[in-house]
Amino acid sequence: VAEERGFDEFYLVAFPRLHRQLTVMTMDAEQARDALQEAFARAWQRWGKVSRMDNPDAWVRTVAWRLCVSQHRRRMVAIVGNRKLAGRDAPFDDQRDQVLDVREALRRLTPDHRRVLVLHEMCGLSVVEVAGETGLPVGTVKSRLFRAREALAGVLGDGYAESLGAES
Amino acid sequence: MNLHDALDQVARDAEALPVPAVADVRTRGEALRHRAHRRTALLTAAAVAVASVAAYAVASSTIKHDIRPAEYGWGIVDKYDVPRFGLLAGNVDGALWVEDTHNRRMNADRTVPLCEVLVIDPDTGAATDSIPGACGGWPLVAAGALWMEPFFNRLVRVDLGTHEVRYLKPQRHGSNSLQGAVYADGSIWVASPYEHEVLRIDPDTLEVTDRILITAGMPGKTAAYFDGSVWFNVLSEGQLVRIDPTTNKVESVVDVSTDPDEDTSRLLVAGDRLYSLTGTTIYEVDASRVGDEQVVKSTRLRDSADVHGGIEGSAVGLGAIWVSTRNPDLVYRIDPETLKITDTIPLPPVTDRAPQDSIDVLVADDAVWVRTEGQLMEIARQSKSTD
Repeated sequence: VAEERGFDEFYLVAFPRLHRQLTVMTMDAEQARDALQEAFARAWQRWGKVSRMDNPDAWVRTVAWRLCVSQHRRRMVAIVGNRKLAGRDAPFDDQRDQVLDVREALRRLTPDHRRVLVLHEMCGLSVVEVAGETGLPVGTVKSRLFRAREALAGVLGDGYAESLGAES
Repeated sequence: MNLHDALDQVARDAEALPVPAVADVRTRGEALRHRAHRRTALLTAAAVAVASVAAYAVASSTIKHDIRPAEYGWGIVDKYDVPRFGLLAGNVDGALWVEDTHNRRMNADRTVPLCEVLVIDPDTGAATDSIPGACGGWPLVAAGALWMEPFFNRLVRVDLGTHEVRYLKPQRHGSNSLQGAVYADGSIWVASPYEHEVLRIDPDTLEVTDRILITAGMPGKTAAYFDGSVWFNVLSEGQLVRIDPTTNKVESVVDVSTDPDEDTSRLLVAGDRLYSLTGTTIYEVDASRVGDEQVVKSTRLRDSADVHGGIEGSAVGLGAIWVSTRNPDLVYRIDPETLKITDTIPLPPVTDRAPQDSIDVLVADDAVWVRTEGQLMEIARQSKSTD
């Protein structure tokens, strides 16, 4: 019972947070949710081990990411995503056009580039920590971050520069 | 809008979907636990069966064991320093064909690769010939040709007799790799992972005669022909996919590893047995019942596999399975029946290893060949005089 309670608490807190991150990584909220559900199931399968990890979030996120990559949906992501985009009502009023541009710019990035961007920008991981979670060399992480930011700079305009300025 | 706001806007898509019920997630987790327990029980039963057979063999003295004591074991008996060396490609008429991986570039108009295959005399280690324009991984010798799946998104066919090199670029979108060629039922079968397809190719015309959609995931790495079926790994899923070459349909998807950190990467066939390897472990798969294939035995060779090391090469021959690992650099000789390690052969240390360097194993004639950076080594059964 205590095990269940511990898992349930972890799940209810971590799921929404990880779902947001995976949604940006995959550009598909439904795919992200399905993958996360399976990743949490695998976490429960070996909860004795996962619960003792320093960062169970990272374990679940990594498993979910691998599921997303492998779930034969790469082609579908673009098709379904574009369909959703076309059918969605304007949710952000005056910023709508810019949001659409951002979506398109993000979609044009490879999933691997989006993953690095999200880990750094949304999860707050350092470059070294991103390298640790992805298994990539630090130099590769830096170059992917650079390319991802470069791709977004054009559509974000001045605000993008401000956000970078605020970081440094 | 700043970057964080932009990402946040996209992330809001997630909030429109309900969080799945935690009870459902736990139920799924329980099912995974039971599946793992069932597999453990099967492995235990298989181990008991092996032990019973071994006990019977000792009692009746009817089975001869071909494994000698360590002092007569296997080890490196010859070593050649051969710079510029690449991937072990195959054994053709007693010569070793190896790829020069040190020049993996295209020519200026990106039509022909600049790398080559070297033909090596195994007695001297000297290159006796070269085949320009041929290179690639996952080599396969079949249908009178050497087949390679290279870095420039084409399938390479090198005629064994004339050394003519031909290229096939069968993908629809151009930027994806081909992996895992196997020869079966008169065709070359190769995976196009990012298309989620297995391609069936006429070995003479190089025409794609069929495309089989793999819905289980991305097919890739190595492939095998076993028990009348074509087998491919499913990348990142710890699974194999089995294809009937008479219908070109997927017959079944086989779970090999339930560990999400484990990716099936190699397939081996030794006699009437099929083996699947991950970065850490070798599994034997009982494929006798289509749709009910099971892992019946496994041996874990190392604790983990990552970018710094793991299982790298594998081959079958001379009555054993040969597996190479990096960091530590070792070659294991494994009994194909019991999956027990019968010999462990340490390789000489390598300094300044190139990123693309791997430790390849090839069984040719009466020797095992291992390639590491700049060196070709022959492994054979040692006598006392060579110790």
